[in-house]
Amino acid sequence: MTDVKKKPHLTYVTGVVLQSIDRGHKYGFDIMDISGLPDGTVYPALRRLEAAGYLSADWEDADRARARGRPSRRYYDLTAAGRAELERARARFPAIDAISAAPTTEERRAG
Amino acid sequence: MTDGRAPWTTFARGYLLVVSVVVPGRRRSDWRREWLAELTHEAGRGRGGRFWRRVLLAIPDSIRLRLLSVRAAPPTIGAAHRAALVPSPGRMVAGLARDARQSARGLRRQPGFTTLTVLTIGFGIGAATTMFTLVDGVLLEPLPYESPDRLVAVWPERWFSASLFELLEREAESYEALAVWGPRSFTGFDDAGSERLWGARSSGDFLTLLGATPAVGRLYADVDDDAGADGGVVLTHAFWQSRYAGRADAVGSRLRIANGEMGERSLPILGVLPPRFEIQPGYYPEYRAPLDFAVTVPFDREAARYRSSEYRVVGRLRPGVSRERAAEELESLAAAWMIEHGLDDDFGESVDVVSLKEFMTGPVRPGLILLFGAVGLILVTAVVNVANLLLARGLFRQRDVSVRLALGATPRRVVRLLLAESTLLGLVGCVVGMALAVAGVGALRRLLPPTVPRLESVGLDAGALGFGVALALVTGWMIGILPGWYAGRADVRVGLVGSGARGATAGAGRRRTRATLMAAEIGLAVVLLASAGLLTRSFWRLHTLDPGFDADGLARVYVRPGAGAVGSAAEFESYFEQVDQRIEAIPGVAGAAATSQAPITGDGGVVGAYRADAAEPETPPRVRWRQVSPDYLRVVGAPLLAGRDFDRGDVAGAEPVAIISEQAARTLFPSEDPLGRRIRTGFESDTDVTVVGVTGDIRLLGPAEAVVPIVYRPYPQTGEVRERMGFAGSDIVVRTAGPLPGLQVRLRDAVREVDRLGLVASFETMPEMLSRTLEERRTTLVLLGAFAIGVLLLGAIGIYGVTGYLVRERRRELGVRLAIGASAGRVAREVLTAVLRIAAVGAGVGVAVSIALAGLLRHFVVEIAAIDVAVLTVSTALALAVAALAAFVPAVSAGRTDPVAVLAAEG
Repeated sequence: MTDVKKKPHLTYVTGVVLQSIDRGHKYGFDIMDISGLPDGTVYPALRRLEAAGYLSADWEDADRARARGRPSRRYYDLTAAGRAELERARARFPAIDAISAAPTTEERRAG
Repeated sequence: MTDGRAPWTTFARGYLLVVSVVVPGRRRSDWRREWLAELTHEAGRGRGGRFWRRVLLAIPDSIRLRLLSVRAAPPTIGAAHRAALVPSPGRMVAGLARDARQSARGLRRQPGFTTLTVLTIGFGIGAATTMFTLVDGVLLEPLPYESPDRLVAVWPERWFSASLFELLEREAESYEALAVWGPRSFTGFDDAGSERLWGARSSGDFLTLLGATPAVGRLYADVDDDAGADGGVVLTHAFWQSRYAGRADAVGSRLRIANGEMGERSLPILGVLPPRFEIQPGYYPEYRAPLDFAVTVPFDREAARYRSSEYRVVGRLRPGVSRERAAEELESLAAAWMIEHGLDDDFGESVDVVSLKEFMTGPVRPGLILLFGAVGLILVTAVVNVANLLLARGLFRQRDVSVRLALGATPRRVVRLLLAESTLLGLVGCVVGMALAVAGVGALRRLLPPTVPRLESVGLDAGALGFGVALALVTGWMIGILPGWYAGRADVRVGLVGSGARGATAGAGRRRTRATLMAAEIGLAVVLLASAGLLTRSFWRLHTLDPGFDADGLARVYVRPGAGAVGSAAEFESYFEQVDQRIEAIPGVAGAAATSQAPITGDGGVVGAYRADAAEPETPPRVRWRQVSPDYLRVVGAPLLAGRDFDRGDVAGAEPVAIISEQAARTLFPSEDPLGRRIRTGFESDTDVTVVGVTGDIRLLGPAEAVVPIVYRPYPQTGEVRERMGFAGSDIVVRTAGPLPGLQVRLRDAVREVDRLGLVASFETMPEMLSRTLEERRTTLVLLGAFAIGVLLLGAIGIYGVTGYLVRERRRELGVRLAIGASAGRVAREVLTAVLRIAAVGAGVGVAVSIALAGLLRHFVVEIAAIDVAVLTVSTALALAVAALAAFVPAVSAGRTDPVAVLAAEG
C-alpha cells in the first residue's frame, strides 16, 4: 500500500506546530491556543509529524502535575529530524518565527 | 474549583473509555491519558462550546490513529492467518473500522436514501434528547438544597393549624427539623409604590432547614420570628437582579409591603436568596417573572388558630429515617390529635409524607411523563421506519451479499457489515439529533410557561449528550438487526441467479415482517393522534366551559389609594365608590364594582366558616371570603338563585349580611334552606352574619380547577376587618359592552381624577386570564400535537419509501401483467389496496391500544370521557388517508411500468 514513513508535506500548519513546540508549547490544546490554528487542525498535524518521526512524546512529571491538581500531560518534543524540518519550515515561512515568539502560557499566568 | 470540575473529569474519563476502543490496543491507555489531561485542562477554563468542540475532536483523532496503524503494519502471511483464525479485540475493532469505511462508501453512493434515513433518525433522537433534557432538569436532578433527599413535604394536602404543628414539633421523632411556610399569602409594594409584588412567607428556620446559603447578606433566622423582632425580607435572586440590578447595597435598604394580617410596613432587606430557589409549584404571580420573596412575618400561632391558615409544613428527616416511617408516625399523631379535639374528620389516604421534589414537581410530572412517552413513540416510529427501509433496500443488495457469501464470508461477517452500516447511520443521525436538541431545548424554554418548576435548571449537559449517544447506538443496532438477520440467512443461489435486472422478490417471512413494520407505523400514528385529539377536545371543553360568570367583556384592574387618600374604613368605601362612578362614566363601560379579589387572580382570602348556631369546629370547612361592592354580582354576571342581592341598605351598623355560593350553601347547610341562617367566618369570629342570598357557583380559581365555596360580604360592613388586617387596595371588575380599545389608559385616567397618586396596576381582561390558567395544558397539547404530526409524517415517509421499493421489486411481474392486458389503473389500485389493507390492520391495533391506554390520560382529559368515538374515528381516518396519499405516487408509477423495457432487460 502506501509508504509508512512517507514524509508529510511541509505546510504552513506543520511549520507552525513545529515552531510552537520548539518555543515550549508542548501540549495539544496549548499549541492550538498559542498558534490560533482552528480546532481539528493541530491534532492531525501532530499525528502526522509523530508518525513521520519528527516528534517524540513523553509524559509530564507526575508529581508536578499532581501539584497542579490535574492529570499528567503528554508533551511533544522535536527529534533531530524534527529540528531539521523546522529549519526548512523557517526558511520557507519566515512569518512563523513571529507568531510563536509569545510568552508561554506559564509565563503569562505568572505575569 | 476541583469540586466543580470533578463531574467533567468523570464524564471525560467515561467518554474517552468508549471512544478509545477505536485506538489500536498498544496505544490505547497512552491515548486516554493524553486526552484526559487535555480535556481536563480545557474544562478548567469553563465549559463553553469550545470545550465541547474539543471533546468531539477526540473522535477523529482516535480514527486517525487506527488508520495510521492499519497502514503502518502491512499484514504478513502469518499475521493474516492468525487474523483469520483467532479473533482478538484489536482485530475486531480493525474489522469494524473497515466495515465502517465500507458502509460509508455504500451510503455515499445513495445520497437520497442516506439523507432520508439520517434525518429520520436525527428527528427521533433529537426529540427524545430534548424531552430527556427537560425531564432530567425538572424531575430527575436533585433539588439545589442541602442533602435534598431528606427533605419532605409533611402531609402535603393539609393546611396546618397551629395546634397540629405544635403537636408535630413536640412529638414527632422522625425529623431533624420542621418549618412552616405559606404560599400566596403576601402582597407588597416597593418604595416607589408603582408596582405590586407577590411574596411567600415562612417561619424563620425555614431557610436554614433547606440549607439555603444567601447570595448576599444573610437569610433570616429563628430570632427574626420572635415577637417584637423587626423582621425583614429576603429577596429572590431574580427580583434582586431585575429591581436592584444586583447591587450589594440593596441589602440594608427597606422594602415597603402590605399584607392582610399585618397592614403596611417597611421592612429591612436582610439578604438575597441563591438563584433558583423555589419551593412552590404552580405559583401564578402577578407578573410573569415570579417576584416572590420570603418575608419574616412572625408565624403568629394565635392568628393561625382562627384557621385561615395557609401554612404548609416542610421537614428534614433524620438520617436513616424512611419516608414510610415518618408517614406512619404522622398518621398516629394525627389520629391522636383528632381524638384530643373531638374531631371526626375522615382524612383517609391523604396523611402522607412525600419527598419535597415530588411535591414541587407534582403538578407538571404527568405532563412531562406523557410527553416523554410520546417522544418514545416518535423514536420507535423512526426506528421502525428506517428498519423497514433498510429491509426493503436489503433486497437490492442481495447480490452483493450473495457474492460475499459465495466467496467465503461467514454470515456473521455479513451481519456485522450491515450492523456497521446501521450503526454509522445511527451515529450520523445522532449528530443531526443533537443539533435539533439544542434548538429544541431553546425553543422549549421559551415555549413552556414559567410556572413549570425548575425550568432554569434545564440545559443540555453531559448527561443529555450521553443519553443521545447511547440512544444512537441502540437505535443503530435496532434498525440493523432485522435486515442483517435476513441478509445473513440469504440463499446464495437465489441471490446470484435471481439478481440483476430481473430483481429478486422477498420471501414470505420478510414480506410479513415488512407488512408488520408498516402496520406498526400506522398504529403508532393512530395512538398519538388519538391522544392529541382527546387532549384537544378536553382543552376545547375547558376553553368554552361556562365559568359561571360572564367573562366576555369583563376586565380587572387593581387600584390602591395613594398616600394620604384614605384614612378610615368609611373613606375607603367612598374612595372606591367614587372610582367606580368615574369608571362607569367612561363611554362603553356598562358597570364597575370593587372586590377584595377578582376571579382567576389567585387563591387568597381562604378562611374557615361555620354555622353560628353550632360550636366552632376545630377544622371548619374552608371558604373563599370576598368583600364586594353592592353591584359586584350584577357586574360579573353571576346569577342570584335565591334571596336578594346586596343593596344600599347593607351599611355598617345595619344587620351583617352575606351572600353565599351554591357550593357554600351545600357545604354549610347540607339539608336546610340557608336563607335567614347565620354563619361565622375566621375573619369575623365574633360577628354573626345572616345569609340573605344564594348565588350560582363560579369557577373562581380557573376553569380546570374545582368549584370552591364562596362567602360574599358587602364592603361597607367589613371596615373593621379591613382596618384590623390592613387591606390596602381593591380589585375592580369592569364590564364593557364590547371590546374597548385603550381601556387600560382610560381606567388609569378615571382613577387619577379621584386620586392623583393612586396606583393602577395589573390590568387584564378576563378572557386573557382564563386562557392563562390553561397555559400548561395548551403547551402540553401543542407539543403532543406536534409529536403526533411528526409521527404521521414519519409514517408517510416510511410507507412512501417501502411502497416504492415494493413496486420496484415486483416490476417484472407487473410488466408481464401489463403486457398481457392488465390496465394501469387496475395495477395501481392493487398496489394501493395492498398498502391500505396493511394500514387498516395497523390502525385497528392502534385504536385498541388507544382504548387500553385511555386510563393514562385521565389526568389530562377532564370534562369529557376518556374514550371518545369521534376522536378515534377521526384519528383512524386521518392516518389511513395519509397512508393512502403516501402510497399513491408509487402505486401510480407501478401502473406506468413499461412492459417493453422490463421484458427487454429480462431477455
